[in-house]
Amino acid sequence: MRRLAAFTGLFLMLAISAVARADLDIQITRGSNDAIPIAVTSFNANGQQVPQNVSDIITNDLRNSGKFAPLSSSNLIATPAPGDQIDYAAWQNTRASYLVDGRVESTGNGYKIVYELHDVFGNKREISANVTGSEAQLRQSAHYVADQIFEKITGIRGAFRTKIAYVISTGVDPNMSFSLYVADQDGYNPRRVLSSNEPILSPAWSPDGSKLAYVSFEGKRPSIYVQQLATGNRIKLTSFKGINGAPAWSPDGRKLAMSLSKGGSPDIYVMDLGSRQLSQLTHGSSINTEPNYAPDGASLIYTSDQSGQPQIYRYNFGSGQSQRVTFTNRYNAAGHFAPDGSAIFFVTRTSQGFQAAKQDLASGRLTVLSKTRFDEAPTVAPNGTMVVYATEKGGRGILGATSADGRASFEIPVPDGNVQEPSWSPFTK
Amino acid sequence: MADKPQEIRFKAPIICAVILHVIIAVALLVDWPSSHEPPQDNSYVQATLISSQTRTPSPSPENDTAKGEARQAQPQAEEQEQEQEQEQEQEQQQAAAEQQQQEAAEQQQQEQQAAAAQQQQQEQQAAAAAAAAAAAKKEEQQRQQAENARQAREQAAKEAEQKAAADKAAKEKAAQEKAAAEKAQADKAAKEKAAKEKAAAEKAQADKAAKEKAAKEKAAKEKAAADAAARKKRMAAAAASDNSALSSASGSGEKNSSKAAQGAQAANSMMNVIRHAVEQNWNKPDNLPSGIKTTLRVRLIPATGELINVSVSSSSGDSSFDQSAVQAVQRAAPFNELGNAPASVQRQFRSFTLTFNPEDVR
Amino acid sequence: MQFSTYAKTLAAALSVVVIAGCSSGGGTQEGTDGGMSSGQQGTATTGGATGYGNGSGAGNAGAQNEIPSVRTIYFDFDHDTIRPEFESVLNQHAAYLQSHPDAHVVLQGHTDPQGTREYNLGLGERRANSVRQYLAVQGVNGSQVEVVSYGEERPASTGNSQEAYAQDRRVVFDY
Repeated sequence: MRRLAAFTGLFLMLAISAVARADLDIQITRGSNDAIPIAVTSFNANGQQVPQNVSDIITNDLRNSGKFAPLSSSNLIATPAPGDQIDYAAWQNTRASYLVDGRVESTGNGYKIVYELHDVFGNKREISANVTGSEAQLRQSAHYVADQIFEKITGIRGAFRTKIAYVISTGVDPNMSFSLYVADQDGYNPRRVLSSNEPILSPAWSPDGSKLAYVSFEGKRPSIYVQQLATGNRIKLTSFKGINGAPAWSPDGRKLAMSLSKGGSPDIYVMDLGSRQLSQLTHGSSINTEPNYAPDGASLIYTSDQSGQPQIYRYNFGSGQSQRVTFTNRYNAAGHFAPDGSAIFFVTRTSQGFQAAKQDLASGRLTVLSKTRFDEAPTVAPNGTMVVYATEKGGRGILGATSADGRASFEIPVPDGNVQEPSWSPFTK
Repeated sequence: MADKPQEIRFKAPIICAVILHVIIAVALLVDWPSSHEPPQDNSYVQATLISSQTRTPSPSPENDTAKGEARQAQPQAEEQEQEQEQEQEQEQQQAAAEQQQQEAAEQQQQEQQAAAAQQQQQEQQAAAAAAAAAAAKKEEQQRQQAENARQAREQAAKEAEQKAAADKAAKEKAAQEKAAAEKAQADKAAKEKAAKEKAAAEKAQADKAAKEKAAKEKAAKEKAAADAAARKKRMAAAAASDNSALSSASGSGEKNSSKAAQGAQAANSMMNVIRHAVEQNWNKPDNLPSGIKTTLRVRLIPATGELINVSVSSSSGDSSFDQSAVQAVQRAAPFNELGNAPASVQRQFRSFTLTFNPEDVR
Repeated sequence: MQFSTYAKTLAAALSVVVIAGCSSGGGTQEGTDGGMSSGQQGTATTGGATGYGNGSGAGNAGAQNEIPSVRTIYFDFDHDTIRPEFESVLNQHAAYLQSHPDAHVVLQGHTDPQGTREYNLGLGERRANSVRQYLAVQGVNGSQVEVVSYGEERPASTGNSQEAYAQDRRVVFDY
C-alpha cells in the first residue's frame, strides 16, 4: 500500500516535471540599449604606406551610426589576418560581439581591401570578401566595407557611401559670399559646385542623386535652379515675382514642389518638370512653405502659420485636403519624411531653443534629438538611421549629426564659414 | 504522505545507490558501441575549432574599372558569395554532426536517468533524493572542471574590462583637453570679433556642455560599475540560494511537499538568473515593429550551465532581430548557477525556450 | 505733429516696452520670447529713434530732391508692424518717390536668424510688404516699389544676442 502510494507520488512528480520541462519558457521583454560591441582590427598593409586609414574610416562609420560601439584599439587582442584561424574564445573575452579583420593590398594602380566579419559568440565567419578601387576611391572602398558589415548585422542597408550637400556662407551684409558644396557623408572630400555673392539655400537632391535643385539669389532675385552634378550644367526653373523657394522633388523625380509668393503670399505649388505646368495646392494669406513629399508620393508635408505659428501640415493629393500634423510645441517647421514614411524630422522650438526633433506619425510622439539650441534643416539619411542638421557652436555654424535613435552624436567637419542647409543624398548606385 | 519506518529510511538509500550503480554500468556497456565517443561537456568546443580550421579564402577575381567619372564612380566589389555559401554549408554540416553527437550524449544521459527512475519506482520516495545526491556527486567533478575554466575566463574578461575602463578614462581625458583647447581658441576669436556679452554667452554654453559631458561620463562609468556589481551579485545570490536548495535536497528526511516547494523555488530563481543575464546581454535593435516576437530553443549542459546549442524555433521574420536574440544567449552563457542547482532543476533547464517579445516597441 | 521730437521718441520707446506683442500684424504672439526680446528692443529703439528723429523735420517739408539718407528701418520680434518712430523715415521715402516718378526702389525684407530659413523668407516678405502698403497709403505708385525677401540670409550682424537680432530684423530701401 505504501509502495503504491510512493509509486503514484513519484509518477506524478515525474509527470509534472516532464510537463514543466516541455513548457519551460522564459520571456525576455527588455534588452540593453547599448550599442553592439564590435572589434575592428588595424587592417595592416604589410608595412606599405596606404594613403587612408581604412580601419579608422570603417570604425568611425560604424560608431557614428549609433548602432555599434567599436572597441578601442588597445583592447584588441592579437590581430588576425584574413584567412587566419580565429581564436573565438579569446575574442569572447573582449566581449565584442563581432570582429572585423582585414588588410589593404596595393594592386599597382589602386588598392584592394580584403576583409572578414566574424560572429564572435556564434563562432563563425559571416563575411569573407574584398573590394578593389583606385587610390582616389580608397575612402569609398572603406565606406563600402562599412556598408557591408552594417547591413549584414543590422539588416539595414548601409548609407556610408552617400553624400551631403550644404551651403557655406561667410561675412555679413553687404559683404557676403556663399558656396554650395557636396561632400561624403562623413564630411570628407568636399567639392564646391556653385559660389555666389548672393544667398544660396535649400539644396534638394533628385531621387536618382544626379541633380540638385536649389534657390539662388544671383541677380538679386530668388530663382529655383536645377543643376546636373556630373556636368555642372543647370537650368533656371522659376523666377516668378516674389519668393521662389523650398524646392522638393517628388519620389518619381518628375515633379518639383515649391513655395511661390507670386499670388501675394507664399503658397505650395507643384511643377510638372516635363510640361513646366504649375498647380497650386494651398491658398490664403498665411506663409506656406517647406514642402516635402511622402515616400509614396501620395501626400506632402509643409510648414504653414495659418494657426498663427508655424506648424507642419500634410496635404493629401487624393482628397486635396490638408491636416495639421504637429501639435506638441508652438513652432514646428522644415519637416522631412523618414525614408519609410513612418516619422517626420523637423525643427521644433523648445524652452532650450530651436532643436532637431522627430515625430512618430502613428503615435504623434515627439522626440527631441539634439542638445544644441540653434538647429536648422534636419536632413535624414536614406536608410533612416542618421540625422544631420545645421546648428551653432562657438558662434559658428556647424553640422551636427545624431543617430536617429539619439544614441550617437557627432560633428561633421566642413570648410571654414557658417554651414547651412545640409541635404542628405539618396542612395547612389 | 505517511512517515516511513526508521529502518527502511536507513536501508533504502543504500539499496538504491547500489542498484543505481549497477544500472548505470549496464547502461554504459549497452550504449558504448553505438556512440562514437564518450560524451564530454566540451565536445562542441572542439568541433567548433575544427570548423574554423576548414576555411581557406581563395583570391577573388579583381575587377578594377577605374572609370573617368571619379566623382560618382563607386568601387567595384567582388563578393565571394559562393565560397561563403559553401563555407556556411560546411559549417552547417559540421554543426549538424556536432548536434548529433550532442544528442547522442544527451540520449545516453536520458536513458541513464530513465533507468534510475525505474529503479526508484520500486523504492521508497526518499531514495530519489539519495539518487539525486549520488548523481550530483558524480557530476560534481565535471562541474568543478568547468567551473575552473569559467573562473579563468572570467578573470581574463575582468582584466579586459578594467583595461577598457582605463583606456576610456585616458581617451576621455584627451578629449576633454582637446575640447578645452578648442574652447580657448573659440573664446579668443570671439573676443576679437564680437561684443563681450557674446563671449560670455558662449562661455556659459561651453561650460554647460562640458558639465553635461562630465555628468554623462560619470553616469557611464557608474553604469559600468553597477553592471559589473550586478553580475557579481547575481552570481553570489544564485550560488547562495542554490546551495541551500542543494543541501536541503541531500537531506533525505525532508518532507515531500517542502522539497517540492524548494525545487520550484530553485527553478524560479534559475529562470530569473537566465532572464536577467540574457536581458543584460541583449543589444536590442531599435525601431522594432510592434508585436515582433522570436522564440529560441536553448540547450544547456545541466551540470555546468554551458550552452550546447541555441536555435531559432519560431522566427520573427526579421533575421537581424532573431540574430540579436541568439547573440544575447550566446553572450550570456554559460549559466554557471545551474551547476549548483538541484538535479530536478538541472533537468528542467536541459532544454527550454526563450521568447523575445520586447514590450516597449512603438 | 503736436508732440516734440523728444517726447515722441520717449512715447515710442515706452509703447514698445509696454505693449510688447499686442500690435502684431501677423496675428502672432510669442509668449515668453516676445516679452524677452521686446525688453531688449526698448534699448535699441531709443537710440535708433533719436537718430532718425533728427531728420524727421525735413521729411514733412514737401518735395525731396535727394534719396533719403536713412534707408533702413527695424522691426520687433516676429512682427511686421511699422514702429511709430520710423513713420517719418517712410514719409521721406514716400515723398521722394512721389516727386521722382521714374525712381524705383527694392524693399529688402530681412529677419533675424531664429527659425527656419524658408519660413523666414516668408516673414521677411511680410515686413517688406507692410512697408510697401504704408507707401501706397501715402500715394506712392505701386509700380515704383518691388519687394524682395532675403529672410535670414543676409544678417546685419553676427552672434546670437538680442541686440544683434534687433539689427537683423529690418527692411532696407535699395534704390
